[in-house]
Amino acid sequence: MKRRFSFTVAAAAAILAVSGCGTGGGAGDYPSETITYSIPFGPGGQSDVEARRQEPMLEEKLDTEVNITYKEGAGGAVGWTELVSEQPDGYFISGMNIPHIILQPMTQDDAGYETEQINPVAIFQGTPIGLAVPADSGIETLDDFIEEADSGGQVTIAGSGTYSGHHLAFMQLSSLEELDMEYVPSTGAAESIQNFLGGNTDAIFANSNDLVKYKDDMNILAIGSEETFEALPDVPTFQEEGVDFTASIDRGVAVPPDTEEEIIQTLEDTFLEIANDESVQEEMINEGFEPLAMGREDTQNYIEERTEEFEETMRELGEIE
Amino acid sequence: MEIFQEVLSSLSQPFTIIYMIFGVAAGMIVGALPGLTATMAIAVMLPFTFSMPADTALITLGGIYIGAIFGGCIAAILINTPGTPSSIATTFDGYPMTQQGKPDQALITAAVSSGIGGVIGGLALLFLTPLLAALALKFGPPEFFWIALLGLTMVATLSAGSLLKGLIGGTIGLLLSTVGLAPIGGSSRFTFGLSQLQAGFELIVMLIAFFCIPQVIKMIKNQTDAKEQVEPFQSQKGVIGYVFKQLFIRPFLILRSAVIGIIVGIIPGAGGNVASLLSYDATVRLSKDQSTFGKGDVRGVAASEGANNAEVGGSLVPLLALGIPGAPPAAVIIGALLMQGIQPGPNLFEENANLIYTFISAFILANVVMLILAIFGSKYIGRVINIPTYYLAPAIVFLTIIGSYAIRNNFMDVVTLIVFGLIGYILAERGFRPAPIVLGLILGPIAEEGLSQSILISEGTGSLLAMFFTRPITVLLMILCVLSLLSPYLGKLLKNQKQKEEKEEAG
Amino acid sequence: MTKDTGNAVFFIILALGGLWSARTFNTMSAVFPILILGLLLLFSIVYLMVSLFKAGQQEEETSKIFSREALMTSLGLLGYILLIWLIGFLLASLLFLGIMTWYLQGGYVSGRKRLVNAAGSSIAVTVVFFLLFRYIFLVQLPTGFFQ
Repeated sequence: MKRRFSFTVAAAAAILAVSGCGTGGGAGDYPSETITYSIPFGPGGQSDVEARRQEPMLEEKLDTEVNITYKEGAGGAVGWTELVSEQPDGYFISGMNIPHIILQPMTQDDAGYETEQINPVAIFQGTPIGLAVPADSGIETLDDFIEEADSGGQVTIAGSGTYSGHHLAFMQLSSLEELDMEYVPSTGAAESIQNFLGGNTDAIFANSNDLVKYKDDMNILAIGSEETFEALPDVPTFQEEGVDFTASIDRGVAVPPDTEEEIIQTLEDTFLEIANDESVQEEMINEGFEPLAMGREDTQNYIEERTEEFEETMRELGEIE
Repeated sequence: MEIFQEVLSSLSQPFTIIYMIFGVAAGMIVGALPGLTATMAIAVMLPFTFSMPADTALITLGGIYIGAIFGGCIAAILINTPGTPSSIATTFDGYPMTQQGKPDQALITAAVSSGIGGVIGGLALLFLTPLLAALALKFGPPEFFWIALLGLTMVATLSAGSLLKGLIGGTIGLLLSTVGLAPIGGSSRFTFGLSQLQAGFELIVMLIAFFCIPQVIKMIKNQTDAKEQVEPFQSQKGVIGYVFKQLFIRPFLILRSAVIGIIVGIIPGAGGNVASLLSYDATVRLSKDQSTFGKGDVRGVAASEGANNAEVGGSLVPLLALGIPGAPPAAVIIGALLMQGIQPGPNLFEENANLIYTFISAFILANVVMLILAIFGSKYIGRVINIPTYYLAPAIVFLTIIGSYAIRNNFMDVVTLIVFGLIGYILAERGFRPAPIVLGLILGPIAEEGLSQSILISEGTGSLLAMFFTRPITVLLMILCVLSLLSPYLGKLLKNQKQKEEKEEAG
Repeated sequence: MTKDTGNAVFFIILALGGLWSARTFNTMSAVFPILILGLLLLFSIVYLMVSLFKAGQQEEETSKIFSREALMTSLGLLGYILLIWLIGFLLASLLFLGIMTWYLQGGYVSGRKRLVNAAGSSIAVTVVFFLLFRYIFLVQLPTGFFQ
């Protein structure tokens, strides 16, 4: 390690000498190089679509090039493992998803990173998770559903991923209402929609954009947002229906640990500016998302709150010790 | 008719056609490089399409998709390494043809069957989408499990020599597919505490490891051995005519391959690799003379390539009708639609009819473009095998390394490639051929997800067996599995019967 | 002991080891691997029996798996990934392609031409594809341990 360090110092000195500029590489003139924006999922996914939407605006506002790269695997864990070991110089930023970054280290010993190592900059998009049944099922409200689930035959609910946002919503609903239901996870949102539309499961936990997309084929019983969800104004929240939890997948951006505050500030300002852009917000609402603009501090508090809440639920259900 | 005019006017724009040709050609090149897949080709070109109008963007991406799936066969035929997972089955007969000095014949066979298969897939997309989309929804977890088992019965066809070694190879492949986070249970399996292994082995990396690295080592080992030399390639006249004749006296061959391709394509989760393998297997089993398969049989190449290009059309069916991608490259096309401000979903056809019909028509046209480009190119591409081993072998290694890194930007994949490449070499020398192992790797995840979900669902409804026997498609797949297992014996039985009858007639 | 017997014993050990480590998985994670490992164990035992039964009848061919060329190539491949990790993709590839091409020309080309061919091919292939991937496909190739 020592060798590597001295080499880095030497290299930095060389770069300084060549560029003939005293502050080169420091936070003062950040950003002066190409920024790598890493997406811990595959191309064409929702995280990618968001990054692509931001890319031209980021390039304009930061006045530098932004390269989007993909680091797919293990539900994002591979990408976040890389993030926490990257140079904290602000030239490597990564998409970040909640609850993934909380649940993965909580349930896996070898996730490769810890939640505290993810250094959040901002959150710009929320995807509330809703519960839906087929349109012809005869179930109209959450109360109907709970009654049905309580009346003997075991209800199956499709969702995407194990120890994921959907799984957690399932666990919270089961534990709050003391229901005995079966969760049928798929490896992706598209697969679980397919499972549900094909009539293989009785209900589904789905992301808000999918609920908007397939709203003609399903009765949406409740949604996990805190307030009425703008794209689906007739759907009540779980809290309004008397089940006290919220469920959402939130997308944001993070930097490696120990990045200088000044650099984070620059990035935070830029991402918030884009998140507050009216046309961006309008596009998100049309696509079935909730535009958010949470700065660094809000995001940090939010992650802490969520971590405590999830820990409690998981412990209650015996999923962790 | 209004739509018809609209479609025609979009397609007659010179730029659109130029972009389409560019897309097909670029796709073919990317697909030919081992490690670079159709998914990646589309992802790489995605940013270039932002500034285009929606129809041009879609047409370009569709062209890349078609080109890349075809391009995979080039490496499969010339260096025994599938350029994309879809052309695994092409190696079985394509490479032996190259060894006999007939790479152009194999390439043209592949081009013609891909082109025809692709057009059939496109026509199905144009006329049968609503019908096929309904069929797509009939495939649930039990069907996935049984289709994977049906695929696994192919081990019998693939394990030349020892069935037992084929079975062991297949289970090794299945076992390797379980490394990493469990898709349903969520435990991390066989990672030995390495967080890098959580993501599991990337199929394409394993494909190159088991096919390409042993091939390169063999190539170098045999450089001095006169017996093992590949025949030099000289382009001959009349090859195109010969290929067309071969295919037209067997019209059912490509038609059957295309139908298998379309059906596998519409099933989300099973891609071109499964399509081409199932089609190859069906062709071998249904042929009267099976002795020449695996030794450079034109039918083998046609079965594999006809199916994998028809699969492209099939995989777009659930995408256009339901908003669900039928294969990984189709998932990237969803991203492209979103970025163009179009929401793929159940209403896509109604809301964007013009765009969708333009896209489908262009898709069919792009298959024809691909056919023409491939036929003209085959004469020149075939010369690759005339490059001396001392240039070719190191260059192939270099390309596989760069390709395996590029898939996930992960150095671990490069290490995996070399380690399993060497393991694959030793296994191949000991009689464990790569095909059954890779078959297990491809089908393992499909089988596991299907089985686990079936178990979970059946806990709600009663018993697992009751679930299997009450679903018509599952029952059909189970019957096909049994027939497939018994087919060698049935064939023998029929033969004996016939001989007996002949004897009786003679006597 | 024949080669087949050796293979079979290896696979039996692999299957048993896998089953042992599968004991910690939760139910839904364990179903499939245990099924597979059970099959592997079954097939390997049959394979072992067959190989023992056949052992007396067959003459073993001498092993040609590790001929000099195969061994050199294997070492070359392992050296290549070590070099990529140490000095980065570009330099490692230049070295690997150059050395391999030089080595493989033995017996075909000699003298100065052998060196020129090796250098030319390594520089041409590496540079063209490095530029293609770095600037068109936007793949950040590894830069090595020393950055």
